[in-house]
Amino acid sequence: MKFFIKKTGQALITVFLVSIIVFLAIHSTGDPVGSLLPSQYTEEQKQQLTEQLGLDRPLAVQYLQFAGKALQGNLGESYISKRPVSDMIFEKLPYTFELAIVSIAVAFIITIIFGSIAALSRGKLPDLIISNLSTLFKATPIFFLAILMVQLFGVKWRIFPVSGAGTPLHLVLPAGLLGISISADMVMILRGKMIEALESDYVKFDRLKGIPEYQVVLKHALRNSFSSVLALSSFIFAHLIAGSVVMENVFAWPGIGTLSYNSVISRDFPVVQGIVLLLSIFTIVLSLLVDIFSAILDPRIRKKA
Amino acid sequence: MQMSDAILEVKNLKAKFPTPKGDLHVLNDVSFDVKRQECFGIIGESGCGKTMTAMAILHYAERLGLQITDGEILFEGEDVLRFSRKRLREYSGKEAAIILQNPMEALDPLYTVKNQMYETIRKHRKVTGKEALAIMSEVAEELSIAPEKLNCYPHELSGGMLQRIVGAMIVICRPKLIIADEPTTALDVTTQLQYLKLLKKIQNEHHTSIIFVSHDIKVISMVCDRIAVMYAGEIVEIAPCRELLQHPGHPYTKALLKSANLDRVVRNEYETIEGAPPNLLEEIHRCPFEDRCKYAAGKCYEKKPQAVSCGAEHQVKCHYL
Repeated sequence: MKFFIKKTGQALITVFLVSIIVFLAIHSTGDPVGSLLPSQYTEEQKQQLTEQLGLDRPLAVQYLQFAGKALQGNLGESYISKRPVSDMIFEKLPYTFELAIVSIAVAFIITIIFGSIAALSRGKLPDLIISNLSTLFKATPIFFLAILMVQLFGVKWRIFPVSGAGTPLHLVLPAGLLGISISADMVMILRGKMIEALESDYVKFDRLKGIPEYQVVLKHALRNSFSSVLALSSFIFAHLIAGSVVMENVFAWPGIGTLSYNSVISRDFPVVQGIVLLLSIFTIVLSLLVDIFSAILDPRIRKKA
Repeated sequence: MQMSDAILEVKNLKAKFPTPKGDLHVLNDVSFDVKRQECFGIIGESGCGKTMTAMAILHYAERLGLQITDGEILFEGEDVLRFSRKRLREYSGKEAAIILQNPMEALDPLYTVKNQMYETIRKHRKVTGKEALAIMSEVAEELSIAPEKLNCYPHELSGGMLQRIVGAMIVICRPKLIIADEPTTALDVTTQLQYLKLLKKIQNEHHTSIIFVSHDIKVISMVCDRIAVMYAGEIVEIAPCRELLQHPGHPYTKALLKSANLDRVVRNEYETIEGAPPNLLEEIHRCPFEDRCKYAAGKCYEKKPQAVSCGAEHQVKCHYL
């Protein structure tokens, strides 16, 4: 419990710092006023718009206004559509969550199954196939695979829908592909950790005590190697977010990825700012979950905290 | 089934370890027997094959990549090397068990001591959960492990306590043979003695045979009834403990005893054995100790010495006795 409170506190501080960084980063990319005005504009019009958007005030004041409103759930208005940013994001959010959670689940399942098989058959055929496939998936850009899948499953064989969301069938291609792509790294980490665990003294001792092999592998080797993979798994979130932007665009998934892509193109600052802030929070929450889950799996982590 | 007074007989065991550079001849004709309720010591420097012998006895050497090319290991008359998987699962832990060198790594860090002990009891003894708990606290008391230690995770305990717990896990299945592979090497000197006493207690109270593997002549002579000296994959001398200490036969044993002699250390006369053990990549057809031996001459370079008897239960592999 103490662990949980401490980790949550750390997470909140991180969110605060991230909000400052996001704010500064967005504002350092230049003045959005120019791109919002018609091509022929007067100084007066520019002045007026700047004041209207509050861009003439000092940065610190602007940040406090932004943060104050953000705490109340108000992320400002889109420059383009004039709709509240929070509305725009929250109507897309469930789709993105759906894609993200299913992808992570797929990634972990693939990692556990294939990582274990590779470790247990080290140097033999299954290991070679899995290791090489993992390298292949790591080396191939995900958008290429996505387009290939659209061609094969959507256009040629017409097995799965390749555009939009709604049914579980819609999820198969984007979430499957994203899951596989994320697991490509993790499979090899699990394989390595498991080989280490299988050669450890405690596994040797378990076997020499006569504990059946399936129990040695599932209870001892797998849990130990998985907890190491989990502790290293924060890096997958960057992969997850970058990947979901690509997936959402290729598969016309109505989530935040598509929205963020469009907002960046049209320099719609409040929307971009809102999305980046939200994704950061999402990442922080996932990290928090990983920490908590790691602590459940490994007593040494509980103690360290 | 033949019931001799020996619980374990190792006969002409030969084994090699394939490496990219060629086969490493790890065990060259190792023979010895361990009597019931005896504490049998195997001493030798690292790489001499003592741990591999232990692993072979437990039928675990092949898992480590060792190829046993010849010989047999009879446990109560049955050849361990021919055990089926099913027979092996009964044998490991229940009949022959091992205490590993480093207690810090012998337990799974993710489970409590109790959990891992429980797992072992349930595997080998047909008892209910309640009975298992009772057995556990009984054994814990016997080995002076405080009951609350059982709820700890391995990282929360000291090396000495963990080795005690490892001992308890083994004793709990009542094995007939315990192999202790350098069980005190990772412990503090003060804890070492306690642990040796504990092992003796286990041996006496449960009528267990113990094979005690160590590189430390002092430790081994404190607990063992008979000692085998191993060198370059061979047993070069076997003798009862006192006999070996007082009348060492093999030049290697003599050198080993001298290097551990405290009186000489006090006088600043360190005796070390110059040189290194022979390269095991080639099969050795001479005395393996020849190039480090002060007395080597003639025959030593030409042929391997055979075991010669010199006193009751005392055998030495040397041409010049």
